[in-house]
Amino acid sequence: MVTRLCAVLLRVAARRWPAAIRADLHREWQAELHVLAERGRTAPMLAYAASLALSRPAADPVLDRSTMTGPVLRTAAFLLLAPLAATVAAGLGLWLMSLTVNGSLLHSRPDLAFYLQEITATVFVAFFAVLLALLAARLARWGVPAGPLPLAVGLVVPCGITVALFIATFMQSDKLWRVLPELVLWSAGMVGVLWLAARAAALGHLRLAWCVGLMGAFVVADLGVVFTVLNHTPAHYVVIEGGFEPGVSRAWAVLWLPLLYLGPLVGIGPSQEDMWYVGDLVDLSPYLYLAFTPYLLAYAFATARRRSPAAAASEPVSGPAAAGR
Amino acid sequence: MRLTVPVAKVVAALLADPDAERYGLDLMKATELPSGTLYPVLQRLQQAGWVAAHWEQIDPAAEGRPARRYYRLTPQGVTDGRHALAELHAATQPNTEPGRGQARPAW
Repeated sequence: MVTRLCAVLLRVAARRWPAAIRADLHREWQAELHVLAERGRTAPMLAYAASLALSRPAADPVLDRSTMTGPVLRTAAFLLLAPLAATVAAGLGLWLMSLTVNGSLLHSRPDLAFYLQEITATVFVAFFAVLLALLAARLARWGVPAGPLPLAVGLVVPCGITVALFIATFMQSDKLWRVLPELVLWSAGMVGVLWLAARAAALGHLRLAWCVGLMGAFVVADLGVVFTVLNHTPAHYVVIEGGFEPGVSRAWAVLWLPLLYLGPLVGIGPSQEDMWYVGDLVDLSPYLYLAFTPYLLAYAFATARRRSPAAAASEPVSGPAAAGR
Repeated sequence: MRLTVPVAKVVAALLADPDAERYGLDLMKATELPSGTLYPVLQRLQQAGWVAAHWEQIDPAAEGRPARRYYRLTPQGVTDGRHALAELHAATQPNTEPGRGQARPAW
């Protein structure tokens, strides 16, 4: 019984050590435990195995902890500053759209400006988001290697908090309460998407990881928009005292997000009035999701691949460029 | 190499007989460190090049036990370890200069 319990504890302990030295250490501990067992010393056997299993997690005990301070600080700085940078990127994209479409095109070709407004904003925001993603893939090289789940939580939670703080500071107070459930839904969904996609990246399936990540992020953002609109809008116009409450047709709900990005170019889907109403309700969140997603995925994949021995073995020279492929 | 108390204990135990080969339980006994502390220290010392490890060359079937892993200081470990322990010793010596470092009444 004691021997079996010790064997379980040693297996638990071994799993906490880096893969490269795990087998040797396990063999060594088994040999020492065997000597104790032969002497019939059950208490020291249990103490030996339990101490190994319960000691400070050997995430990387081969490294001097003082050398980990830099990566930890760099990672923390990135996780906190990247959402701010993405928010600025979204703002910059919208400002450039306003400058080009509303500023000049509106006077010369107002009909064209009407059609190009959303897609121009999307292109500008996406451009800055991709730049941020390239930077994130490079910076991931200097960060702490983390597992897919802590990585996903560490990346997404600061984004949610940044958006909430941004809305609370710069927009109407009721807007925060309107968007908060959507933010929670988006954060939870993105943690799941990043976790799944980072696992695929860690196994070396980078193309699959990008597919899962981009499609998953789109679905999560789409659900978030639908959730907010349905939560705050009746299905039809409702006449109330002193006027009426607008309503939107729910038949095209899944197209709300793509049409917010593409504008009325597509020519199908909900009415323009519905889209204006949806746009007013969700406001900046679709552009913030667009600004966040590329860097979240790029950083998660680069970190996951750095940590994965399989990916490292298949790619002798690993770097952000390789990680971003 | 940062010389924490457990590291200093292990280095001191190994320096007690630099030519001796020591195994885990032996070092636990000498240093009074639990296994969960000792093995990370041994790994750090190996990474720093102060300690080398090798497997005991025995026939497990004939001996009736698995081969053990032995540790011993490398020449660099002997030199650097002695130096580090001497520095630690000097840094932790109470100051015996007259009039300095001695306990004085607070009033």
